[in-house]
Amino acid sequence: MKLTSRLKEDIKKYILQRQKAQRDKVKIIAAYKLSQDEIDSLKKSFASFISSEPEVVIDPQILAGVILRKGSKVIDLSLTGKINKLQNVLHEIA
Amino acid sequence: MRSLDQYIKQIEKEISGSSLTSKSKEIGTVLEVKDGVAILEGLDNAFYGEIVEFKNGIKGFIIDLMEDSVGVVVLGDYLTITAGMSVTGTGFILSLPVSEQLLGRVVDSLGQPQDAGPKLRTTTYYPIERIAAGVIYRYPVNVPLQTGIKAIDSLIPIGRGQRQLIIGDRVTGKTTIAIDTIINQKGQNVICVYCAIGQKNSTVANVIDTLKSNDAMDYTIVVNAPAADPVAMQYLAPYSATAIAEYFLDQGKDVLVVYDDLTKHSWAYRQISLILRRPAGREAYPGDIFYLHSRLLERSCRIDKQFGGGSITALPIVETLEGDVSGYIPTNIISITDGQIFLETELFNNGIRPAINVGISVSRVGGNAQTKAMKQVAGKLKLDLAQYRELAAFSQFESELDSETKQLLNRGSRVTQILKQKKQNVYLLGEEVAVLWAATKGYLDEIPVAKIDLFEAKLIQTLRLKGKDIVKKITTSKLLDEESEKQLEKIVKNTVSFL
Repeated sequence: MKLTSRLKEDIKKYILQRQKAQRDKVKIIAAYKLSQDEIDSLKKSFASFISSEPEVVIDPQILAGVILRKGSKVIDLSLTGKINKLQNVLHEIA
Repeated sequence: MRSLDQYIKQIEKEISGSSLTSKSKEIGTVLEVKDGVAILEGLDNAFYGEIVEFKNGIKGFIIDLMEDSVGVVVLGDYLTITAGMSVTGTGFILSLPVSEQLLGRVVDSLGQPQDAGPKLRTTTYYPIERIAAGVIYRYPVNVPLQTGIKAIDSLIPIGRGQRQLIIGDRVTGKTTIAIDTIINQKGQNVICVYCAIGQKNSTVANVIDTLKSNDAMDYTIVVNAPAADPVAMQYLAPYSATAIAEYFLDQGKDVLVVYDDLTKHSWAYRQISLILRRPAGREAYPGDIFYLHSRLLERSCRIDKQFGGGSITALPIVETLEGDVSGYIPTNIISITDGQIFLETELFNNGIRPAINVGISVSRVGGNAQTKAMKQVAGKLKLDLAQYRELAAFSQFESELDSETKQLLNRGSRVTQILKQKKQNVYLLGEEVAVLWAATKGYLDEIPVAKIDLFEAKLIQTLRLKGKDIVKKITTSKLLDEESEKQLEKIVKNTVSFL
């Protein structure tokens, strides 16, 4: 199928937009399955960040806590993040 | 003394305070990795020049912002970066740590020590890229920066805050001039920064060794981005060196920066630009190759006293191919700088070292900075040399010359000889003036050309042994009065008779 370059541009834009919308969805990454109460309290604490209905993903690798993601923005409240930070500090001091 | 309760309360407060801090970070993922450059997606709110950190700790900085991707130059081993790796934005603009501790150290483009010395501990960071001081802050160049090299101090004087290009083919002594200048800054209250870009590590080690053996490392910082370093480090090196210089400038100090050399720097930038698919122009250099060096050299300046004073003198080095100064990069940098020192292979091979072609070397602003004593002898010297050059070319075929021409040729060849100087053998102002004074007053005319260097060595020896006072007097007063001239005459005549 042959496409005019104009059409191709438009399709690319549309796909990019859809991808962006997909990426901009709020994602909560947690170490275990969160109860509705916990999700609600997160929503309350981060009212400005969690603007849409969040998707909850379970990742045992983060050990504890949560990571909130929206687009390219991340709020890292996980234990792994804290440990990594500590590791960096120790590395800098040594 | 505070009670235990107070301590506990304070600790409780600290613990409760830190538990709820949440900062949002910018993240992205690696799409592709090319030679030293990574293309990322995400990082929607990143800015130009921001430092990003790859998951494995390697840092990079943003050099390209496109609609849906970000180009990052990797500052480290890019081979360990894989597609899909997550990248965090740090929110910091590219900067490096600066402090007094840098003196005597060898650091890389990001200010990390490369020598065996201790870690640098500082909280002061300077941005690697900074807009140069505006016209309001500037002051004309009128304080000399003595190089300790007779030919330069007399004929192509350099002032503090000047940008003087050193240009020539390979092995013509470009670095030697720069190093000698650094050595001569001992006790002159000048901080020196030597920036090696794309050099062999063995060469840099030699330079450091030379500086150390001449006690010049005490006031010198070496910024080293060798040929083995990622190309991004080579691209950043001169800007980092200037940032370090600006730290000392902001304290009102005089700084000398040597960029060795800018040809390799433009190669590094060309490589980055080509990998980023920026449109290539002449000789495949990108369109902003001119701005690359103009924004760097514009940062050299002399600051007005009322704004703190201080200066950055730049000695950029450019390598030419077979003496072709009309190349793309050489012409660009010649037009940016305040003058140039041309070094020629032919002169070098003829034993005239430093191999400066005084005919085409110029200093556009240094004349105002020359000391009075030097001006007194340099004026006549320039005239002697100019007349000599004019006559020397066609007099080779003439068998019979009138006595006046003979006299001019005679003088010229001796002046050329007396301007020779061995490397790492820098002179005090008083010594330079004394030697050149002897030449312009015609005391050398009777000495055979082959014996000129012997005369010079003897004269310097005498001056350093018996004539300390006169040398000191000229060096500090920067004047050559009648009394000094009489004393000089005595010493010179004595030396001539001794030969």
